[in-house]
Amino acid sequence: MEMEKAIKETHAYRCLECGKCTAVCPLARLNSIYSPRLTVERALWGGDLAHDRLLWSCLTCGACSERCQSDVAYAEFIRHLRTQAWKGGQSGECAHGGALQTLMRMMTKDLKQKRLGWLKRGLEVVERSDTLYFVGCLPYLEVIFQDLDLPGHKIARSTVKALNRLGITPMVLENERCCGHDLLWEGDIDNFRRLAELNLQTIEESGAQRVVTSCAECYHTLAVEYPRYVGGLKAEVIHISELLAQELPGLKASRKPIKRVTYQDPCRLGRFSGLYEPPRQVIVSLPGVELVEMERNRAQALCCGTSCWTNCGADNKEIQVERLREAKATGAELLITACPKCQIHFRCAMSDEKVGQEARIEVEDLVVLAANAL
Amino acid sequence: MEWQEEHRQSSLVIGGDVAAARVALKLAQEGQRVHLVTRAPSLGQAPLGNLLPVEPPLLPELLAAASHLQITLLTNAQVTTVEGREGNYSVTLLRHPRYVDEERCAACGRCEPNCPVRIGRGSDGRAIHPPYTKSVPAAYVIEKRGTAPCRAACPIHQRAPGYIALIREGRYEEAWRAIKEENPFPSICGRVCDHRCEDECSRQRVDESVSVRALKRFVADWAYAKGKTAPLKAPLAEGPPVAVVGSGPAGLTAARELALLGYRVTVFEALPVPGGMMRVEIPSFRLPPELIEREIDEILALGIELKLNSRVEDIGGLLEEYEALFLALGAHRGRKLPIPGADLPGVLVNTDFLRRVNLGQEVELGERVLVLGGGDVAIDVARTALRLDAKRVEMACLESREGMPAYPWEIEAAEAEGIVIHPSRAFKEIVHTKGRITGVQCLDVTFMEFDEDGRLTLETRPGSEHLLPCDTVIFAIGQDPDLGFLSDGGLEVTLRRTIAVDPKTLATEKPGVFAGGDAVTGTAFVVDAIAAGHRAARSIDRYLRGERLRGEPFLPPKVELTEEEIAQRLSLGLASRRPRAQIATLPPSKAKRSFREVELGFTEEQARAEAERCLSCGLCSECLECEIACETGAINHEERPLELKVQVGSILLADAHELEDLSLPPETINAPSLPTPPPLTLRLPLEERDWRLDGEPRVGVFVCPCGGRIGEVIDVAEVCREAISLPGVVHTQEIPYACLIEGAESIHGAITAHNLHQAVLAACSCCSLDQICYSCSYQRVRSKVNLLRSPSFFEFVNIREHCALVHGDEPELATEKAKDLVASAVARARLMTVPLPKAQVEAWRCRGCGTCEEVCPAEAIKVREDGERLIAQVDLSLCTGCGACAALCPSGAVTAGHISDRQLEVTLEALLASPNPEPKVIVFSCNWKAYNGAEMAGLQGISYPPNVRLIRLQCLGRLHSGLILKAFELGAAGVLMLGCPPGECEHRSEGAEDLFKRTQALLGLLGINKKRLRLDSIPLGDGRLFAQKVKRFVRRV
Repeated sequence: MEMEKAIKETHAYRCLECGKCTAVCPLARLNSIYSPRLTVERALWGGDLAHDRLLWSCLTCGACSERCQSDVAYAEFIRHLRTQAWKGGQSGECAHGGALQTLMRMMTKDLKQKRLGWLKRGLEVVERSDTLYFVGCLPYLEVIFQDLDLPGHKIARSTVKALNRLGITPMVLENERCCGHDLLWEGDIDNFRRLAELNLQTIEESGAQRVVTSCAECYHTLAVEYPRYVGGLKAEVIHISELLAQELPGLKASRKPIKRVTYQDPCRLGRFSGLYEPPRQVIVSLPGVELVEMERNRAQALCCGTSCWTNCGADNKEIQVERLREAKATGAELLITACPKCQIHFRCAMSDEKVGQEARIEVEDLVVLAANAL
Repeated sequence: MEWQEEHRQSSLVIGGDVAAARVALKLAQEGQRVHLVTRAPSLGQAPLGNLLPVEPPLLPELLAAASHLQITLLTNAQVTTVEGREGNYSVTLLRHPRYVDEERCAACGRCEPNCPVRIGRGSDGRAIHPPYTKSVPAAYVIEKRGTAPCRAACPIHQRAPGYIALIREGRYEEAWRAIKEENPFPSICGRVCDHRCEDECSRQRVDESVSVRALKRFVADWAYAKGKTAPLKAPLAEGPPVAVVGSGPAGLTAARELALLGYRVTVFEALPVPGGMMRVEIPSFRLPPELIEREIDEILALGIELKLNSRVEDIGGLLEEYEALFLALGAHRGRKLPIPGADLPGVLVNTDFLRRVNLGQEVELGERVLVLGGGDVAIDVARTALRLDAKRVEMACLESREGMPAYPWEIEAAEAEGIVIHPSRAFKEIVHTKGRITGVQCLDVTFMEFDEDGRLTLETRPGSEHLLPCDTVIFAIGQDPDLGFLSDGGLEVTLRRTIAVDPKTLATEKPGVFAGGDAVTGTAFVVDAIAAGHRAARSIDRYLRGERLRGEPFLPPKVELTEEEIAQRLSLGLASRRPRAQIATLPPSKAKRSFREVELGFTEEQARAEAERCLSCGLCSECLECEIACETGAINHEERPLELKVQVGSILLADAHELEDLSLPPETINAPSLPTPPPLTLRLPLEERDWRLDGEPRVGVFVCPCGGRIGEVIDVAEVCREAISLPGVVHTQEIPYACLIEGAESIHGAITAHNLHQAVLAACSCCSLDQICYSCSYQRVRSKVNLLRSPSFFEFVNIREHCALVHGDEPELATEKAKDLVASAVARARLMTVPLPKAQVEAWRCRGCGTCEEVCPAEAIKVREDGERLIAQVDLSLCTGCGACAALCPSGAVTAGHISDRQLEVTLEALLASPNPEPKVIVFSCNWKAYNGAEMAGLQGISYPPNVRLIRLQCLGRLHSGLILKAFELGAAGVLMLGCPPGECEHRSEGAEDLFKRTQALLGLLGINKKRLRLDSIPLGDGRLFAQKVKRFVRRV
């Protein structure tokens, strides 16, 4: 029954077996066993996918669906399959010792988090405001990925600074939970629902009219997935890049003069939400900054290589290196992204000393870049 | 010269210290056959006699040497001679008995508390004890100094030291059992034995002998007062039929022993009552007849047929019905001197007189009785006569007062009752007037002597004739067996009118016919008759089994305590300084007119105080309590020194202390001390094989109660019940003594019968690896060597040190913990991994990033090109299994072999699944120092809270935030990371501090009190500190 529902909802039954999905799949190009087309076929013929390790390897980047003439929502189809497999006790192989998944599940419990330690003097936040900055997992990621020098706190601070510059004094919530994106896409739907419900309640209680995120995944999850699973927020959900693009104030040149930058479209912001242009508008409006596009951009952009901390391995690393090479090839000095996960994955790939100069490029979050100029 | 080549491949290493073990290991690893010989009972005890536990860091090497298949370990052994020359030595070794089989002893410790003999100060230190904690081998040893003089002196080698030691402990029932081992007549011997034991007692060198006989009587009286029945059970009588003629002490003893061996025994008795001379010749004031009946009834209850009023006249006839015959006829025919008047009415004979009295028949006595004779029977006759209302009883004998054969105390008792003794008289005539006796005409004796055949040389003083007036004369000058019927039986009779036998075997000339007791020896004591019964039973058994007859069984040499030893035992309080207890008796004035028992026996207090006087000459009292406690049959008190010969090509002397007065050939090598090999590399001698399995595994759970060490605390049945409900478990079974070969065999049997893929053994072994570490023990190594030959994968959990020993005072919580541990092992077992603590790389997950290479302290993992990709590769010979690479691999491509991340997760899940007891605290410990601390806490019984669940990792560097967070996610109240003190890491890993801080930061973000996570360290082997730190942490959270 579940399978029928999944096939129906994701239009998998429409599959024409043309194979364009597989042709564009970044994973399939590296792993000859993996094929989105055959995955759909096998599912339609009643095959057992739950015990297939590769079920957890799909990046859910959505590149396939961009090319699909039949409008098969392949990433969501995978999500359905994973959800069912999960219920049957199956799961993917967690990276980072499963710490991130464990943290997410811990956040479904009764907690009194102390997650606002990153707030510094000079950043204006208030108890109650129309605007809520949904920080997401940044404080946790800062700790977990400190070896990668992930500037989790800096992204959060930059977001508040940017909002302040826009004349907005946001509120931030001490007991905000993880948005649940990774649990959702891994198939752990129950725990996702718990997180979503807790967040929904907390946000509603805060009285926020507008929820700003600095993370592409938080954005898409709050804006699109919450309404589907636990009911939508009354408040408007907006990614910081949209806000900045709409209301960009007077900008000053960055202290560090930067000339050429390139931009990585996060899957959840671009292909999943259609927000291709706002980040670019922000970038081009920065004084002295030139945006050079990578060969594959916008809907054709190559994924950062991993999602939901699952089944990461050699193939993922190759995708990352490939994308970094592409970025470097533009001649840009800086690779800008609007999702902390993209940044983690690129930094992780580059932490390998053996990765050559042709794939080495500094990575910065869009909001950090923008805040420097505000 | 092929054999020489062969011997060149073998060596003898002399020494028992770590240096010797190291040399032996080295040679064995080079393929030599090694005999490792030490005079100590276990390895690691050098200098000899050191009873301190071996340093934990040295233990793995000792265990590796002891378990190496190429090494034969000979403990308690010394080199006596060396012959031959380099390349071909013939070495003679003397192996002293340990009395405990090294291969059968499970070191469960059941025996030790059962042993009544203290050998040191305080309550600890029993005669049976382990050489030291975790000794190698772990088999217990029995301290025997030799045969105690009392036991050596006793014709039946009674375990007097045994029952005395048991009385001292207030264990009368066991004491009774110990007496009954050799003596079917404790009440009787406790009253009338001539106790040669006391004559030999070493205590005489301090003051007076221990009152051994009275102690025996005390125990027998106690047992009968409590209504205890004989502790012996005869097997079904299916053996050949044996006839015993005579139901005296010799006959009944033989009957009992034969019945216990399974023979069908029939006893023939001429009289209407059984018991022989005990019943009819010992007066009831010395030996109440109801006691005799009781002891005889117990013997007959073994299934022996007794035919009363059955005088045997025809041996040939009996031999047609019975396959063997024991003639224990006794000596019931009293003798008279051939002097004038001996046949007068009123002249009685000892045996007739006593028999009539004891059987309640009428005896006519005059007022003035004269007993002729000076032996114990004469005294009995005189005292009996006194009680039959004779006005005046006197005794006369050939011997001088000092030369009287009766024991002095018997003579004293008689005199105390008013009996007058006339020594040194020769009897000429019984004088009478018209048939009425008026006295006995005597001469004074100046010299007398009996020769070997009983012939008398006598000199009297001329002219010393005088009359001892009396009206009744009773002869008590000895008695003979009634052998009239033997004349046509083909049996030889001696000059002394006894049956001729081989004194060692009691065999007569006629095959199948044996004889013993007074009929062979002439009048002797009950205990001699019992001895004859034992000897006869042994001979008859051997005869019927077609074996060559043999004499007495071996007894170790008699102990001669030195003055220093005696002084030491007194000063250590092993024997009290009190004087010998006096046995209460009826006052002679009351006693002499009644048949009431004269001697009253000890009170309980007296008995215990008297028992405390025993010097425990032989140390081990040979009470056999250890043998009874031991369920594995490991104990053999009869073990004897053994001479061994070995042929070796070379001899290496590792410890010169081992040699005494023996010089080795000059070319013998003094073993060089080898540099310390890292103990991490020591492994059990096992074969490599493939552990992979497809499909759902079938798991069996086996639980060892460890002879009660586990089973008396933990409800093993409940652990099994709980285990069978766990997913994947298809079989559970209690395995007594899993460390014995039988244990391993029954597990292997169950594995085959139930088609098991994996087995969980909950016992004392703790890791599923073949490594030998500080926490290992001889039993664990042996159990693993036995078990891991099976095609199944094993998960071992230690419910001994970690549950039973440490939480002994909280059995329910200890059981809960054992259930948790078993559940965690089952969960791990279902996720099969290679049982090696070595890093492994899952190729598809490896990003080739090199993080592993960076963190590996052993430089064992390197990123290398593999086709087009870079992939981490492990050099298994370098990898020490710390798992730091696995902990830090971002994608999880590296696993730490056994135990994998997933296995750690399911371990946590299983440990935290049950709510009992709440809240639970997880302790992650490194395999080396901290884990050893937990083991030691268990061994030393230093308790810590039972809600603690320990998870062992090869190294704390193996841990990552995910696992710690997982513990909190699953509800742990706290997580304690216990590692090595700084700079002491076995793996030289340094990851724990950073991990701790980072995880604390994450907990802080989650709003979880940071104090619920703690990083601490324990030095090696510190059980007390382990318990302390764990306790403190639990209190804090």
